[in-house]
Amino acid sequence: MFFVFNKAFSPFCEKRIVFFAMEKENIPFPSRYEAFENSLELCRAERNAFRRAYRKTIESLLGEPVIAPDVLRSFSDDEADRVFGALEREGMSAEDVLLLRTRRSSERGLAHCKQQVHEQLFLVHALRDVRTAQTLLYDYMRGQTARENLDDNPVQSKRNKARAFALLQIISEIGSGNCLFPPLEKNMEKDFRYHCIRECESLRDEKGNLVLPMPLMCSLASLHLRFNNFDVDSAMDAGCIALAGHSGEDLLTLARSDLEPAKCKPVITLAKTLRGEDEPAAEKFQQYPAMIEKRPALPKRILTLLWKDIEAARPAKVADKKYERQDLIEQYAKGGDIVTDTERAVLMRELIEYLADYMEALHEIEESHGKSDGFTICNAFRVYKLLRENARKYLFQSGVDHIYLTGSDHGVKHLIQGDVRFSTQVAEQLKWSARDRVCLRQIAVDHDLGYTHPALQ
Amino acid sequence: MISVTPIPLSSKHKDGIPLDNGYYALTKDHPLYSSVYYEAHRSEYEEYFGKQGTRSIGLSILDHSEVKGHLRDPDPAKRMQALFCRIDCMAVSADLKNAPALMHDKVLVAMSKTFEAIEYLKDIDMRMGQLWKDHQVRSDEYKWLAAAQASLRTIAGEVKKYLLGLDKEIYEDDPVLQQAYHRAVEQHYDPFNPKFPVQRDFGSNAIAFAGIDVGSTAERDHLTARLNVLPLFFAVADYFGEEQGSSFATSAVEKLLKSFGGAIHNPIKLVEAFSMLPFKSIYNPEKDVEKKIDDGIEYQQHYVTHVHFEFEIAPRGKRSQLIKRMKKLLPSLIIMRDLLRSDFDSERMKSMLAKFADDTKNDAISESIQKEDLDGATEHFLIQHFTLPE
Repeated sequence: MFFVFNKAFSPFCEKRIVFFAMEKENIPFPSRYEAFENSLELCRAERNAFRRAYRKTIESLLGEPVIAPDVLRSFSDDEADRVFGALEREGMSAEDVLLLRTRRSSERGLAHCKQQVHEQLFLVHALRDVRTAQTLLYDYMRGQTARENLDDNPVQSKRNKARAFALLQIISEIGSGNCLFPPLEKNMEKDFRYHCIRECESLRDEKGNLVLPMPLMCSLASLHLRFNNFDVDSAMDAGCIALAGHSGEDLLTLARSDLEPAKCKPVITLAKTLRGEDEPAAEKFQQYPAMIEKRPALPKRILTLLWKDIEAARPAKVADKKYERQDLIEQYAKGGDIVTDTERAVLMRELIEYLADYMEALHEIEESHGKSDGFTICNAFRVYKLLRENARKYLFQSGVDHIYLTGSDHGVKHLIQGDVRFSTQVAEQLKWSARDRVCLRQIAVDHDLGYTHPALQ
Repeated sequence: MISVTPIPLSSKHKDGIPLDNGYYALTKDHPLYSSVYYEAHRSEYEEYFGKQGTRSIGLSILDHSEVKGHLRDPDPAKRMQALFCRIDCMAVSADLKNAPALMHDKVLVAMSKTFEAIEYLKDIDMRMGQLWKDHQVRSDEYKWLAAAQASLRTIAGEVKKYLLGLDKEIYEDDPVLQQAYHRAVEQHYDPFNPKFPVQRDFGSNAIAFAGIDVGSTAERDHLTARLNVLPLFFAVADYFGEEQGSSFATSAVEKLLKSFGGAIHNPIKLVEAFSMLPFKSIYNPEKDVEKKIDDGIEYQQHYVTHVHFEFEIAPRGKRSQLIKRMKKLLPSLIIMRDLLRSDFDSERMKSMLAKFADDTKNDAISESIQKEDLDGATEHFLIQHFTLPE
């Protein structure tokens, strides 16, 4: 349903729609359209300023860091502390460690800034065609009016029209440059211009149809989160699942090593063996360490850490977040678990298969000497990190699903035993590349994350 | 003859499922929120999967709820989306989609019982309304209906308590899942409006996904999804009565066909066709039409990539306890329907109940009949009829 308002559809709205219909041949251009360009300029200026500051910092640091910049950037605060501790124990001077810390901060700062600019650009690009959106909405409202006149569920048509009109108001606000940057919270409460986007419950009409094109609706979803003070990561917060804390030495070894795609055969063989077996039962989870033991050192280390992560998974108290997963924490404190052992076993098998496909993809690129367009990251820590975050997302989705039991499973069962199993099976039969299979696996991890939106719980 | 009529693609999009509150609408919006998350981490994805891979992932996340595209699209992102949305839409059976609680025999039995009680209550309410209009509220019939109504309402409430009590049995040694189940049933299971969960859960438990095969010709790819029709399918079709039973049993199959542009106009015929499995499939590539059992099922292909469904009867034995239970109670169900006949005749009803008491050795009913207490006998009959597994 598109928008649910406190007040019912009023005659005033009706008059505005009629007025709008009369003006249909000449839909007014938003008064402050240029505000888009201004916002864009602001974003770019911010990014450029940070880039200059970053370069200055990098120039002051002599030589290449012992850990590659992208790997440094990917360390979380906790991981960085452990790794830097390990480096100190190895004999690195306190000064050099400090330089490394500075480098990491700069790298992360730049990445954060780039991401913010990307998000703003995403919004601006999707929403800039306000005129098209208005035309589409008008067409939609005209369709609903026709249905109403035909006595084809007039009440529903009236409601749909009201919702579309509300959306039109939002689009107009966006067109006036009012919705790109949320105002201060205290002002937002008072300012009626933001009420429509804050109060919408859903982005569809009564029949469940999207009224506007998907990218535009996605931007509205993003605005909806912003104007309700959710940042994306706290709304769908897989970070509230804590995994094992590994030693700095283990992480450092991974951070300084690269996977060798040419030696991926033993991992692929293991994945193939697992694929040939039935779906794993709960007790299988305890058998994985023995199976992993026979693999080459680096994949073995990655898989061992992942196994420990899944075994130790528990809800964590996340500070400074608007929405804490209190339910998960409370239930865990009562002695429960976030997922079952069977789900752990299924997840572990998926991570092994993912790693095998990822290494095969690296190998394919190496063999073909072709343009890689990605799939160049073979640093063991970064590959481990990708798999670890995927594990976290799976655990989170299963955990949320268990807590809020909605009837349909959107956890490990549906995502892995349904989507991953059958899509990769078909991809293999169609002889799609390992890169395609990796992408399919990643789609399966992410595509239903929206179900963990707090409002759905 | 089963007619599976194709729905033109353009109107399929308009004929979404009617939504009646914000929650279901919001679940439909999940791809939008998944996409917001993806956009927030896009730069990281580009590092791992490259620009092309990231685009492929993003497209499938944003738009995976409806079947679209084809597997030979030159654009790799659209190709991947075409495969993923097909696979995702195929997950309609309990083995790929249901929480364990909603596959549990006792839960299903209890839900079927509440549904039945509510069906009787609807009849009773209607009849009582009519008697009220006819100024017959002091009649014996009205009195009997009021007593039966009270008993059925109590029973519906009791079934909910029974469902709540199954938490430990379903999720042994797992307090988190026990509590989640408990809360979900407590807050969201309305014993007086059980149609939606009953239809959904019995339908999804009636079939199981058996696998998928790929075949390719010069013109196109063919995906063949294999599904097992479980014995429960036929039990559901019988138990809930010809019309509703067939529609419940076929609900998951209907959802599946709907995703691929088909529809079932006559579920009764589909149940008959399934009882004659295996199908003989005839595929006419010129017309893109698939016919089974001499026009029994006709399924028009709308997309360049063709999807076929093969149904097989699963080996017997599965869910036997549940099916036994559902079949065992059928005789008393027939008695209940006879009791609710519009020609109220207390003597006829007493003799029916007396026979039932003799057959089942139910002393409580016999005693009430001896005391000429039809209301009491009805209540004891209902208690026995709605007895749930221990």
